[in-house]
Amino acid sequence: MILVIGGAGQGKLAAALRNTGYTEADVTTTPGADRPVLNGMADAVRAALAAGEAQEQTVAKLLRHAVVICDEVGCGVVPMEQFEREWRENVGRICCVIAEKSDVVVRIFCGIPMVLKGEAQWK
Amino acid sequence: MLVLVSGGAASGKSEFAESLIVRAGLAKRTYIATMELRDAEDMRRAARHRAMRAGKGFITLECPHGLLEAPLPQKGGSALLECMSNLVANEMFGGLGADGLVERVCAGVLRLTEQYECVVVVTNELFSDGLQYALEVQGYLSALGAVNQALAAQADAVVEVVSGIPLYWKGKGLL
Repeated sequence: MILVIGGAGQGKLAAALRNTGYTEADVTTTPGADRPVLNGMADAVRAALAAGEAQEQTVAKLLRHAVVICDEVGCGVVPMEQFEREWRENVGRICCVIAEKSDVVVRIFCGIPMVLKGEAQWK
Repeated sequence: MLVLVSGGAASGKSEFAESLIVRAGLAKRTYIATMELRDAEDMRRAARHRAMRAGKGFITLECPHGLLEAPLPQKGGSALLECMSNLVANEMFGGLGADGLVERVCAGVLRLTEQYECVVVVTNELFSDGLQYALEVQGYLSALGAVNQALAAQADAVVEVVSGIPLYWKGKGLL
């Protein structure tokens, strides 16, 4: 499994597709859907939180994908609203869980990958 | 040579970018200032940057937008453009607008690389705060992200400055 993280607008999806050979047809934004690439994990976690889904269940769905792509959202001031705080917290914690279970973790900056884990397996 | 320097607010990216220009050792130095000065706070910020540059021999070109047509003051030497986040904002909200912005701005930088031997572009890391912005701000962020990606692909070196420490994403051996 591959986790691709980075700020918004950095070209994470393009880098992931380039590296894995998957195409747009392999991409979904719905956790657990029958496609290998889950794009937009932070938004998906937001929707799951709003729907009252248990975090373990969200994680279980995410772990079915070969590639998970997630915006880093933890580098701002602590949000005033509780929902926003909880969302940010969940995204960060879930990223930690998925990173641990992933063979490869890559951070993208201005379209450039930095392999944080599993260097040999990122082409 | 094209170098892209990024980092968060007050990360020391300007100081680092200027040090690259000084180290390049070329006699002619052009500073392309992109901030539109609107109030006292802007003036103070600009004054801090001017003091930092003082004595380093820069000729300054004020260019809040329209980089592609700007009258570049001298040929050869090095150029420092600061900051791409201002240029993109001014271009989007006060210049020719969002249509073709990424191509226009990148062509402007390409023109700099034709005019100067060493070009350093300072940009800004605004993308990891997890905030949900209004649509036009989202449009701005994705335009800046696209400009950053395009310039990074073209650049010989890409550096993220963290607390004054350079983190090399590309071209470490060159600098």
